[in-house]
Amino acid sequence: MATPAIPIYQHKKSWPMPDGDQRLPFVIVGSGPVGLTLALDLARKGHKVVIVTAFNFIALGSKAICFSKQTLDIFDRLGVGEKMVEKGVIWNVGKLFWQDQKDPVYQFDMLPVKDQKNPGFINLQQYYVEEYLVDALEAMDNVEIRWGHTVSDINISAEDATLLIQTREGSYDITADYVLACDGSKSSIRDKMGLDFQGRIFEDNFLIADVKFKQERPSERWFWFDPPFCKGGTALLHKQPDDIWRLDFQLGWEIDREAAILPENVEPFVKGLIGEDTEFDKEWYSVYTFQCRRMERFVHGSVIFVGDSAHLVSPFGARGANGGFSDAENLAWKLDMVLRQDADATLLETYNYERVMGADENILNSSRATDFMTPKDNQSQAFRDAVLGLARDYEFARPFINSGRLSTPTPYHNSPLSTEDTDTWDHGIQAGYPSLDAPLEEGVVGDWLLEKLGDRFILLHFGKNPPSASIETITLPATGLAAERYGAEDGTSYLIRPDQVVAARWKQASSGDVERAHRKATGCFL
Amino acid sequence: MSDLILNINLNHHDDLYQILVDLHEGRTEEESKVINAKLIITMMNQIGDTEIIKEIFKLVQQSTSRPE
Repeated sequence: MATPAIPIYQHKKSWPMPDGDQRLPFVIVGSGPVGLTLALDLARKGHKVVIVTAFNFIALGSKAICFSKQTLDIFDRLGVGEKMVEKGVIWNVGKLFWQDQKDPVYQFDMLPVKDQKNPGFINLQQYYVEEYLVDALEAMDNVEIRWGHTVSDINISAEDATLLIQTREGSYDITADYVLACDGSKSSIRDKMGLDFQGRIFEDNFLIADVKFKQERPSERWFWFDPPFCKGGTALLHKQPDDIWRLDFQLGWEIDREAAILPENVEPFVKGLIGEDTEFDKEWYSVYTFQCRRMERFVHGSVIFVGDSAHLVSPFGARGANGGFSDAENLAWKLDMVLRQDADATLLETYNYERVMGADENILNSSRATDFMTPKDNQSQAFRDAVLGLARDYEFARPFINSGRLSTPTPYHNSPLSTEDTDTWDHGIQAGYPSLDAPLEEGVVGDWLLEKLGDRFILLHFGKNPPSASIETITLPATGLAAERYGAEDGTSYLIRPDQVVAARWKQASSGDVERAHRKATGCFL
Repeated sequence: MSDLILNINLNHHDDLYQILVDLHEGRTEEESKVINAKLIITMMNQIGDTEIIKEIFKLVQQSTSRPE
């Protein structure tokens, strides 16, 4: 239920209690960005979507702010990407600073492959992301966002799951074949099922200060190791829309968390970073700790965990929300096929396989970044300082610096849905890896390959004589930027999944090859 | 003229860095010093080029003595 402690961005009218108990194919629990994204994906695929959420508002506070290229590609397929990019602050460059040195030790580019529709990252307050998703959902006839409906219990049978829902007017049951638990890091469904996370908890506190000020600064991610205004810790600066800046400071473990967010205690950190003379206003202060943990499994019969309810990472690398969107997109097309009875329910087990792999990569990267940023002993400190000390003058030391390996799509190695290469490839994109974008016509902006691939199975063919296939075929020339990125020659074909992951590729495919790979990618041989 | 490689000549930096740090996990400072010394000796032999090794020593000496 709404608690006064949560600052509100936008109020929502509580959804009336339905007459009597309900039976649904699936229900989404949670109105965070991941639940809303999953809802929009399934609604656009034509399903009747019910979201239940304890909140009757969109919360203020920027929370997640960095949305990756892959997330923007997903939002594009859901029709909300361009709105996000238009409002967001685009950035590709990150700079790293050490101690009181004015010049960066090193800088990096998040989008080394140019000529793609979307930038490496945008920064955007989470409430805008939620607002745009809610707007898109509310414009659809087949969606109900039941604001103010709290799950108070869950009963699981072999066939389905029943949620007991509390509203202001009383309670009712929803029985569903699938419960999609997008109810966040403190997931009440996970708790009620007696399930838990495994992994590491880091003993450290970080201060977020989202502040408003006007200053000409480039749209770049600036990161400090051991700066004078946060001795022995780290600091991070990100630009957000509306002249709001995200400042993040490492505070250490033994602190008074309540005192840490008092304005008089936050101010010295902010002034240290942006300068004594710059006036600023408080937008949102918060102290957080983090964990790098996940559930052992994300699929528990009828109940499927998605996003933070299934896995947690440190924020360094922007792998939390972005990982959650990848979960949603991976699950949506599989559940769609299962609900249409185009695939067996075992296909959902590959969501578990692929997204556990995604979570593990995010957890590994996020843990390593944390270990680099917070050396655990004198020896680790010495290695870190050695790397930073060499990096300004010597290129070879720079790749060791780790201030967060920023979110890039996770490849699904050995996915049971992938068909192994039978040809020899020097270039291009292996099965299990995400498709790359390219302009469809050299020099023509506005026509992109990823847009054309869309969200269904596609046979992408280069050159003459595509194999006849039961799925839609897109044919591109065997020369040009797209062909180059796909390592294509005349006759090359790629089978691409609805989530734009490569399922198979051939230098010369027969119809039978394509058919077999398509059946494999839809779970026929599991 | 030195043939010392100053551009990036490795892959999997994060994997190696973690292994390096983990080598010292749970060791005393004295043990860590010995571990590092053995690493240097072993790597010198692996490099096998006296001139290169001298160049590395010079680079590290200059990089460290410079005031921060």
